[in-house]
Amino acid sequence: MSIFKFKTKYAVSAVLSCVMLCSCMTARKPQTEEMFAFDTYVSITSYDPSDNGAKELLAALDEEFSQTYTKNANAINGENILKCADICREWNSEFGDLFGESINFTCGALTKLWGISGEAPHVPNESELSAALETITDENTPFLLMPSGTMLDFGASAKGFACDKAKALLDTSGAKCEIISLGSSTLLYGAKPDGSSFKAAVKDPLSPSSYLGTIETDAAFISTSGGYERYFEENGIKYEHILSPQTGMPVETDLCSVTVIASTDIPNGGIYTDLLATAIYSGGTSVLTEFMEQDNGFGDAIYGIVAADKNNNVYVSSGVDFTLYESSGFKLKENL
Amino acid sequence: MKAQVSSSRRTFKPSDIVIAVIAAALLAAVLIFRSIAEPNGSLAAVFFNGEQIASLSLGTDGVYPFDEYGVTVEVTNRSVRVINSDCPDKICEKTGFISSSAQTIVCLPNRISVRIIGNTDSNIDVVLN
Repeated sequence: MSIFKFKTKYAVSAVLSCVMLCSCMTARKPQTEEMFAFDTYVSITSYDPSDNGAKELLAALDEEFSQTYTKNANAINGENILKCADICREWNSEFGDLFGESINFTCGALTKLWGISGEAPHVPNESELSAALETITDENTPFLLMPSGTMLDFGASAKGFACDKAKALLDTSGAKCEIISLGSSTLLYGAKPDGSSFKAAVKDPLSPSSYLGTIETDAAFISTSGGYERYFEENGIKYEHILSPQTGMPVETDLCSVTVIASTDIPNGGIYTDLLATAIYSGGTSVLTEFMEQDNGFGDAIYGIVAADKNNNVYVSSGVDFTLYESSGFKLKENL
Repeated sequence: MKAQVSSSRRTFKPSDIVIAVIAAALLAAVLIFRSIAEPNGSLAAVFFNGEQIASLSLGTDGVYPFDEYGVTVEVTNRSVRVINSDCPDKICEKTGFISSSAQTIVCLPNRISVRIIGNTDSNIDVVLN
């Protein structure tokens, strides 16, 4: 009788531990959801058991920002667009001296004219270009007072802004670990259940299906800018998607990929890394080195950089845990 | 008295061993089932607008046209690529083959994405674009 009881206990505990072991293994597997928003592919990978609404948040933000594709600036309204514009203005007053006017969110008409991400990209003629350039105005002008032909384009900031909003949402919902990728901007939130650091791969600009290397980091905002993926060719010439608000032409740069990383403790770190990646990419190696010196000059670097130039050099700022893949053919420039 | 109790606890009866073996076998069966159901990187999943529309075995080479969605996908040598798309930018075609679960092929104009499903040896959490 007592032996039978013991047996039952053993059997029950054996089965239970078996079930627990299996469910443990299932729980460790993150779930990935995907969607298209902000004119890019979005993936949300969650280690958390419950849905915390990140997908809905991103869909709502995308909906709000999408009015910029069709409406003129003076007809734009929306709490988040206004907030995003304000942070862009702050960023400009902080970094404008270094980068010049490499980014201007009133360049929507120019972006639309080229249509690089659209169905029929083409090189505009002189008169089309100058007409579009004339619509680019001072970012500080209130939307309502902008010239009638001016359109807005938050291509260099909206995805980073969305990462900031997502971070705030996850903070309030008590999320533990999420990886939200909006293509060029990524939020690595919380910490992985196994305690390991996040590993983000930087694409090889010369061969986008392989990697330049990997960055290991704790929770962070990461943004990447480069011309190697979104471009079109006309008469044998490549035209990249990042346009200069001065010339109206694709930016001329000696860099091919710029990644900027900041801790999730940095306020507006999502939008700032997004803007910085584009500004540094547009500015080229001279602006890159200047920025790396300045940022480090304030003490500990706030923004980490991994950048690749067209001569196969890779620049890594101190404090970034970057592993270069030898197979990429790129060489590390001495740490700056 | 005390010694007797502890000695009886330490003794494994043949029946206990049988139960232990059964439990171990059960665990092994579950693990084997899991690995058969989802072997390392065995499937390429094709998504439209975030909804899965197909899963292709990486163990079988083949060309899969998705005419309705404007793309054709090829599985060769345990990797997958978009070989043809009616989109204007052809970014999906230029991406080439992927074989790791961290990588994704995206066709933005057609709202198509292709991913490897399951555990692969990749420990990369995200690929920056």
